[in-house]
Amino acid sequence: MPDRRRQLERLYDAHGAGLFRYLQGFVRCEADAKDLLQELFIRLASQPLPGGLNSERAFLWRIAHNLAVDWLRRRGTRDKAETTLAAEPLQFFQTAGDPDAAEFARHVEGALAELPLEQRSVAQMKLWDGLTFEEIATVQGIPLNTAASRYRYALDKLRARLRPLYEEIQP
Amino acid sequence: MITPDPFEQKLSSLHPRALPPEWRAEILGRAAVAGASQPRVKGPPRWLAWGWGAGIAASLLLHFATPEDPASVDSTDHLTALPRADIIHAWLAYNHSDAYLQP
Repeated sequence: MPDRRRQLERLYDAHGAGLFRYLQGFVRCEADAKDLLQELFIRLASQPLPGGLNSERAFLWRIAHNLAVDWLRRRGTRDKAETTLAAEPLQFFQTAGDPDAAEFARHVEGALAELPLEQRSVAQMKLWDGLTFEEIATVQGIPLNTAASRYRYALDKLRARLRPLYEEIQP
Repeated sequence: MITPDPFEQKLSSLHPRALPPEWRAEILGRAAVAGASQPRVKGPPRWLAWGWGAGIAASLLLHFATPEDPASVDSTDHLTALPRADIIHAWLAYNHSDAYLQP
């Protein structure tokens, strides 16, 4: 049992924040994302990781993806107010320190909020959680090429949206 | 391996927020409690499993030891093939004759 606890602690320390961001990207609400993260770790506590995993990260993100999709299904039809709220940017990045970097981070958060969910989630996994396209394809149950093209579309939109600012803050 | 362009590198260099430190104990604590309270999936008692095993083995043994076609049973045993009354009559006739006294 102490081994299981240590394994959970290791998984939380290594992946907890990334999993939370992924969940938050779907549910757009910190409290709901925290509840789903809690549910994910309860599942992990109930049954050990299967042996012979190709990617522990893909396995965990896959559970998170399924939880998020189930959550969206349970929610079903949202009212308009919630949909509007869902487009609000989340505070995604640490903004302490350099004011230019903080300004850039706020703009990136705004640009991310405008992306379709399928592109935003892929961009998040690739840029800030370091998942490979193979892992992203496994997580979302999509072909590898689809994962790559969603990332490319997301990047193009972010580039177009942030270009004025990006050029301005270039050293 | 495609090298990320400067824009990608710029995006990647942003640091996502860390989780509030107090969440760690809360989430892991609840997970541990829930994990411990999960009913463990147990098999049947050992004596029952052995009983089932023996029963299944006996059934299989009988199944494979019994010929599928009853007609294939060897019926060349003449004692059992003859009607019982005929056997008795033959035996009585033999005993009441004095054939056995003949040299």
